[in-house]
Amino acid sequence: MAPRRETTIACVADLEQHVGYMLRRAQISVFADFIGSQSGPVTRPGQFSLLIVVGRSPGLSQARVCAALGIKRANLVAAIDDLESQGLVRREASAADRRANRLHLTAAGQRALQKALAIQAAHEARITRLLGAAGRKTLLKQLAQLSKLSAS
Amino acid sequence: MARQHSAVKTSPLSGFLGYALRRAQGVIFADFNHALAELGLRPAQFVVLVMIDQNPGASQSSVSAALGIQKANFVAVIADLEKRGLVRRRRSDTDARTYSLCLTPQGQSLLAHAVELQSRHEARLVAQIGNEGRLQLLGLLDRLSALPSAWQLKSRI
Repeated sequence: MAPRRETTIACVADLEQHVGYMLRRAQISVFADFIGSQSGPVTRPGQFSLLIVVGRSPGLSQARVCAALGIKRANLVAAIDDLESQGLVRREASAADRRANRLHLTAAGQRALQKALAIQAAHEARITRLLGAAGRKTLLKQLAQLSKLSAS
Repeated sequence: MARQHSAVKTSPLSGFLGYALRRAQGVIFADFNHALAELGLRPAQFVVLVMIDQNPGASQSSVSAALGIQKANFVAVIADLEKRGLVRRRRSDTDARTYSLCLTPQGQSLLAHAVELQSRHEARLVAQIGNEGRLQLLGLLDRLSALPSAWQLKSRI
């Protein structure tokens, strides 16, 4: 009775009919590809989004960035702390409201964003190769539709 | 002023597929989480129950591998489900080093109820994108799972 080495992988067929499960699996794959391909100071998708939003609208308040990204304030504060400690983002106290910090990219932040964008373009191209241009467009449209699902 | 406000929309990110995936995933997860709350079940637990139901007697390691869950995390999930009397863990007949998993009758009936809630959740998604759209979406999402092979990266996000 030789002990069998357990190498089998259980069947996931049932779950593959669930949009939520498939979406989560795809998201993990896409994030892993993004993270694996980035090589500069930007390593996580959340940091990347943050740099883009701040880069496009310098001087935004933290509250507005929270709203734009749909993230909680506590999470944003931690993410900004991290980017600030790396010298990529600068907080500036608002003259009108001392509690409202306004956000700017530093010169190093600008450079990091440009580099991340270039690498991201290759990541997006890999996705397009997998899905086809039409498939990618369809997917974006469907995801936007699904994001409108209101809390039941 | 109002103009400036609308300029802050997420438009700079709307073309990035990863961002769109994350956003939709958050909304869908919240809906499902809310739907399951009446059973005191979280989506991650639901997924494990479905897997054990579909693979009765499967080993702990084969289920965690299929779900891409790290062993330590999976052991905690199973311990919790076992404590609630939903899952039974047995030493494997063929290999004493592994545990095989089964649902208890109580686990079966809770899962049946959860599957019903899941169907209603899925129907809400169909209402957004249509039946055909759903099938198309499942196919596209499946293709994306081929991505990380390029990067030998096993990090959990």
